[in-house]
Amino acid sequence: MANQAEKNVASVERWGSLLAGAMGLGWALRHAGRTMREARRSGRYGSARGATARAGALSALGGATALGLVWRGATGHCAVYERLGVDTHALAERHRVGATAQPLERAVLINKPLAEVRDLLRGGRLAEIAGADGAEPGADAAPITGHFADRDWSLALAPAFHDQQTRLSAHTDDGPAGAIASRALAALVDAELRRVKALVETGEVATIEGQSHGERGMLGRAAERLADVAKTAAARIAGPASDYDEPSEQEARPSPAPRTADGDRTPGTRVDLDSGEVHV
Amino acid sequence: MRAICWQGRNQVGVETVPDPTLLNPRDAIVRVTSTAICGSDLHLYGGRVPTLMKGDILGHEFMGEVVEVGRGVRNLAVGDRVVLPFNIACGNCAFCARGEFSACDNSNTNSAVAIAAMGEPVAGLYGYTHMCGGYAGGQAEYVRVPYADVNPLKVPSGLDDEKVLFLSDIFPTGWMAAESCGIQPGDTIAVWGAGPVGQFAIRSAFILGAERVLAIDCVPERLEMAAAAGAEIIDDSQGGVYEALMAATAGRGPDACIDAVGMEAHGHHAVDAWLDDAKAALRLQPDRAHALRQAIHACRKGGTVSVPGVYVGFIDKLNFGMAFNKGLTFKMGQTHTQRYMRPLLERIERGEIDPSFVISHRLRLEDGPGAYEMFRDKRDRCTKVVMHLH
Repeated sequence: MANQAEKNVASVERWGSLLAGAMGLGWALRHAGRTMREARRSGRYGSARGATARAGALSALGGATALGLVWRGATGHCAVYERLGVDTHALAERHRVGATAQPLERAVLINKPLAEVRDLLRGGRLAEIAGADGAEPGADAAPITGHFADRDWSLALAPAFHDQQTRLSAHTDDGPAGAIASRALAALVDAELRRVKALVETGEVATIEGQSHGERGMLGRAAERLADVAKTAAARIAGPASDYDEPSEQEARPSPAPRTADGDRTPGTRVDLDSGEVHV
Repeated sequence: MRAICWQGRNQVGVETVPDPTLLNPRDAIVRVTSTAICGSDLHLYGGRVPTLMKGDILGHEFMGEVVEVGRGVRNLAVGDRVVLPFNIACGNCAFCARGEFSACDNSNTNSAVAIAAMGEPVAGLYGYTHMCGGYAGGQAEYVRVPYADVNPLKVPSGLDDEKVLFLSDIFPTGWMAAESCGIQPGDTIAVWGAGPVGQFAIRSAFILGAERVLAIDCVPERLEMAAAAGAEIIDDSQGGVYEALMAATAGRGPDACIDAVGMEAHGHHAVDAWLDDAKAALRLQPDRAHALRQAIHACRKGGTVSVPGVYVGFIDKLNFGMAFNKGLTFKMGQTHTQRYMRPLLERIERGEIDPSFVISHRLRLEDGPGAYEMFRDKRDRCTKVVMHLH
């Protein structure tokens, strides 16, 4: 039997191979039995002998193929895949929900120099990572830990583009293993990073919530509802539902950003710039 | 207030909707005095652009008077007369800082959808789908204007609405299309589509130094308007555009080609256009790129293809190998309107151009649904509809 390291066929595919192999074996055995009966009836000579031989070969070929499929399903190893360099087992493992945690890092560029971003975020934990504890502005700073989406994150600011811009990144070693869950979490983090970026760059977050529109159609109402559901579902895929707390309207408002520090009417923002906390 | 809302494919209606309110500190509310229907609104009207929803307020060419400003807006006051660029820019991001306002990083409220569709979030647009931010449009009595400290252009009281309204879109769009051609003295520019954007592209090309402009269209009144600007006209209703362009340029081809048609090109006697029509009818492909293919085919070696016409999806059978081997340069995209509004206003003030030449119909907001139909069908010599309010 092949060991674990030799597996290159995904579980679903293995079951398929077993099923197909079993069916193929059944067919081959029936076909072989029928061929043998035909051979006994036709005797050793005559034109039927050739046909019987061909039928026997077909049974043997079918049986061998079926046995190969059974072997492929039982061992999880496929020689053809090996020659082609295909490994659906590894692919499936990478996409499997609940598999080993994978690191995830997302980042966004803010159009302000690091020192200015640090000043804007003064007083909070994000400020610490920017070097407020004594490091020179622009120097790489030790990341600090934030906690959102049920995970610990390292948040870091770093200079970019000739020190004219700042790279804000969020990194976790505890990202979901499945590709779908990973993408969902990445989307959530991206959205939050973009909110921070917008707040730091413009002092507000663009919104259309509450704006005027005409009568929505059935599909439009469904789409709006679906968007809400998808938002919640994405959060749940990315992390346990119990840790996704929809902020109250008061909490949702961002802290006043510098230069337009007179508040913000944008609901849905979950970033507290003063404290540096990022809530997803 | 009353507003023109999209109600389904080829259907708009004037509905009563709630007045807009300030949603952010940098917002303003503008009472619309004039608004226009753009050719690109017809793509929405026909339901060809994804993520438009029933009830969305249309319109991205409008101007009016400021009636309310947010606490973050210090350079506008109630009573100011302003014209608004069709795209919304924050003024702070790296793209706005480079003058690439239509690539603004912060104004699109649906950046996740935009990233999925386009790889990057482009700027928000008024009344132009939720993929582009979902902002309510300007074919309404009032409009909420985001980032009002950055986008509106104050206009002098001495200029009529009709002279400055098109600074919102089609004049800067035509101008940028011509500017993108990198026109050198003596150049010949071919312009596909003699609609409003094409008309401004023709005039802009002449202002920027083109010796000859060749206008290609099949609508007689539009060709007449192009000829009035000094363009040589090619009626493509009988086909033979490539041959006509080669004949006009001694076999070399135009130095630059402007596709001011975009995704709804009507090809005549052309197999690629028939295939596009079939795929569009089956909803397999929104873009009908006959004009773009012709532009690539006709453009001289080393020339430029400038595309102000709107495209939204994938294009089949694009002759890109032809473009590669001829060494063409492509310039395209939504106009960085804010970059051009003030210099073009100055040209209007100096009397170099009066953009109102393009208006064929002056109507009321309530006439909007009929106007859309008329504009789409090019009935009654319709080239441009302006609706006056208040």
